[in-house]
Amino acid sequence: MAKRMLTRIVLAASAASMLATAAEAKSYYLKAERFEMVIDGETIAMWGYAQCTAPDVNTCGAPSVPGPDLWAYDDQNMDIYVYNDLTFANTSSVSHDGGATSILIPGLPLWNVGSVVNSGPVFWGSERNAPGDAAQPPRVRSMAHESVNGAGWTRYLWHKLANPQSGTYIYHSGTHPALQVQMGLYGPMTIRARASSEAYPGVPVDADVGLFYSEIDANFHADVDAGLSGYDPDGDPAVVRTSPIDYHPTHYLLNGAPTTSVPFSPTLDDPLGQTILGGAYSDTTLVRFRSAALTTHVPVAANGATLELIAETARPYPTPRRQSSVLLPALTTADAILSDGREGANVLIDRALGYKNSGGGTATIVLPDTLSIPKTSCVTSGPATGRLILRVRTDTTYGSDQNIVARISNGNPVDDVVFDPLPYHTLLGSGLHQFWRLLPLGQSGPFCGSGTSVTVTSVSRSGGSTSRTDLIP
Amino acid sequence: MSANAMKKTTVLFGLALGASLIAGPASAGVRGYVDSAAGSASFDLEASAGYITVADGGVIYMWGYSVAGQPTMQYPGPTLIVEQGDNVTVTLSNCLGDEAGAQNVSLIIPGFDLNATGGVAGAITQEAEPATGDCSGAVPVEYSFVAARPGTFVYQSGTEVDIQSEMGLFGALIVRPSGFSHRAASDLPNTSPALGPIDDPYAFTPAITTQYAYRAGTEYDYEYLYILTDMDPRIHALVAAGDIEGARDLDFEAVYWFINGRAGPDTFFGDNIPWMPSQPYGAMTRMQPGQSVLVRTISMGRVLHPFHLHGNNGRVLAVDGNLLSANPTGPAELGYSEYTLTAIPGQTIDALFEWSDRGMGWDIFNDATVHPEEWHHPDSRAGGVLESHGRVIPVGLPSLTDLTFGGFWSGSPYLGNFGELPPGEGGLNLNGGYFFMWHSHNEKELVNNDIFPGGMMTMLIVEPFLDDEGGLLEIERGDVFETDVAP
Repeated sequence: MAKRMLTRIVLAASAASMLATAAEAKSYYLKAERFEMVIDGETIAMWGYAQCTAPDVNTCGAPSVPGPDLWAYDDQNMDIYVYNDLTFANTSSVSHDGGATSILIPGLPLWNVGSVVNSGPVFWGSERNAPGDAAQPPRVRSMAHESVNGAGWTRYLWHKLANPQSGTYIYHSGTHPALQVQMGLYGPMTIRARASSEAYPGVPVDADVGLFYSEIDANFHADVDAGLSGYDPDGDPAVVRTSPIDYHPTHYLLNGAPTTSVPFSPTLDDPLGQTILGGAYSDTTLVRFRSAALTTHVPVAANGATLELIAETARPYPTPRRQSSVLLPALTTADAILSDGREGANVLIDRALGYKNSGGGTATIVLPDTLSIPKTSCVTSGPATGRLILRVRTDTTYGSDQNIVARISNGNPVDDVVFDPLPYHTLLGSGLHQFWRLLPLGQSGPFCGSGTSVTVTSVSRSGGSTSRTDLIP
Repeated sequence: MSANAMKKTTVLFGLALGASLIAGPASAGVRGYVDSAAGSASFDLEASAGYITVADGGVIYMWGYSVAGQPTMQYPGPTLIVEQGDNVTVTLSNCLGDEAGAQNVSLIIPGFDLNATGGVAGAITQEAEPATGDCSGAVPVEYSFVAARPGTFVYQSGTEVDIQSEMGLFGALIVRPSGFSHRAASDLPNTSPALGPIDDPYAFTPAITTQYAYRAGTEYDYEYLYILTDMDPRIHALVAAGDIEGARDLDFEAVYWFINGRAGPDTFFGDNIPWMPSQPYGAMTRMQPGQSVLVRTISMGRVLHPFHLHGNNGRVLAVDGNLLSANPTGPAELGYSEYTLTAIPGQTIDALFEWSDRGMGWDIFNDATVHPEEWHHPDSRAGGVLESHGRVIPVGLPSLTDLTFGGFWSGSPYLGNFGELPPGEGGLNLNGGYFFMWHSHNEKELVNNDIFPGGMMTMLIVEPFLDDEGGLLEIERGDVFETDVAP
């Protein structure tokens, strides 16, 4: 833990600026690659995005589905650099997409990069349906310019003038999307207002949580992974997957976690799985619903909470719509204030009822009572499952790549937990900043029983030359 | 044969056939259970297994709720009707113990936070464990809440929701608004002997009644409930065999579609028909010109259903029991007009439907000498902008040899009139009303396992004001459909 913290502090110290400024561009580096998920003992080939800290594939983390949580302020330029490392199980097979991928964000138009027309499209060459047929005119393959396998980093630019709209978005592959999105090339994108805590104009929020619904058709993935996909100029169309038209989902994911058990037992490895921490009960919590599933999902609040729908595909409604249910079609987003909820667990069931591999599809958003720092908390049942809900309020702006260090003590030993606050950041009134984090505790338990408890003794901001404590109790 | 004699013949024939196909008058309203105790309502429910029948002859294994003491479960569960502000208590016993796939069951109501006591802890709420035999060993769970706001809601099991919703464990909850009172069937205003039994149906000004869905501005004349579901019977067969995981592994593919637990044309029958003991609720809808129907829809299937209202648009008032209004009083000013209600799984929609002869251009009552012009929409009256009073249909009507017929065709295009029909035709239209199909606009859902017609389909009948004998034709409404659970 200590070593990891040091690493992150060094990285943070190398950040260009302590304070985020309007001029600062947001840059992300994503590597698109094949990986494998194991669900219920079944290994499934996926394509996913791995986040890298620099244009160097040696800095990339593990790929995930959905991809990493990306965000930017509403006044920033944003670059996403994509490195195409997509492969198949049979590496000798050639990608039928011409070895290409790309990235786009519906609702946020791409900007041209130099002379490259960013918004595409890219066409296939002329082709024939079958040997002997007349060639057809070229057909579109990519909606954006392509990142070609093995060709290094490809830049995609969103200019602030083109994307002034804060809100909830999805990024996904713009190349042969019927195939590549289904394979897992999608992820959450959030545009946040810099100057206020408003999710949308006139809608201030204290905290926001994301629920990302998606699905897997394991047979489809197996075929794609075997090279039986895309355009095959010589092959038999009957054995080549040109699209998911014969789609039968076999697994359902919520925030990338298979909905495999009831009740859900969040683990240290999956702190943002089906149990999700919202704002304090007295605060305003925004739920950002996203779906990259091919079927429609309908989350319904089961315990009396009202979902006050304020936006759809990142565009605000003129008047909020109070409902218990949210219609979530394929590749759309919806935003709802979780109101009239319980203090504690608020359950959302998926009324589309496509559970298949589980009895689940259920999300639980926890609205804890109002916490203060330092917080004394008796943490569940032991070190293996110990978790601490931490909310930090400060009057200091945090720049990108700065970490919050929470020092948690149960007497002896002392454990530091480090996290990047920005994805969890909201700006309160009066210049107060707030960070929420579900902290996985280290191995230095027990945290409960025998009269012991956990006390957060300090919260520090790291980055720059010194650490300091910026606590507003 | 004179037209009048033909009319009599048709009515007699209609009575003979209609007795088996239509029991319309018994189903005009929302049938449900109330508790007359002031300020509170208590219901004892049981969950048990049983069977339903489908019009193609199918028999399907189900799980359903019923009021304790009923001889069988029902699909959907009993409609519960309470008043705003009531302290509602639902006591649930689980009688699934002898079933191969027995599971715990529970109760949740999206829109209300239920306090649950007893039973065992489940993922979402407290659950009742299955009891065997005569269920005397059941340990009930008590769910209580304050019905703080009016509207249309759905209660359902909060346990293994994918399986148990499909199996039928849900029902409607209707919360009447504060100050609500039924307008009785006989309470027709402005009756004037000088102008006939009904003076001016358009003078049924909403302001004079407290029969409203949410508050002043949402008044209605009749209310009906439409619980829309879809079904893959293979799941039911697997659950009957205890193979829950096998049921989950299926690719869901519905072949049956229901309104109020019945597949068309069983939806036309009245409530509580003896040969469908587990499907007590009909869906035939009746109204008269100028009146309004409160359409309460609940979608409990897996996929979206476009519920199409023939005859006119409906104006959506509320979603999930939330009035579409940004104001503390008045009508649902944010409501919107649709000819097809998008029924979203788990969602409830309330809409107001009206039908009149406005803009018809001809007189739907045929003969201006026998009815007052006040029977028409004001715009259709003499001097109105779309005057229709006294105007015959401005085209020649085709001869019988150029027509095809159905059971609902009275032989006349005029409301309350009958005309000549070939032998064996017609006969299902007792009052000479206008029939409009209300159905899923996804036409593949108008079958019962591939047999057309059927599925998610029912009828609206716009009835005339007078019956066959010239007397007032009253469509029942009010509290006659409500059964008090507290004797």
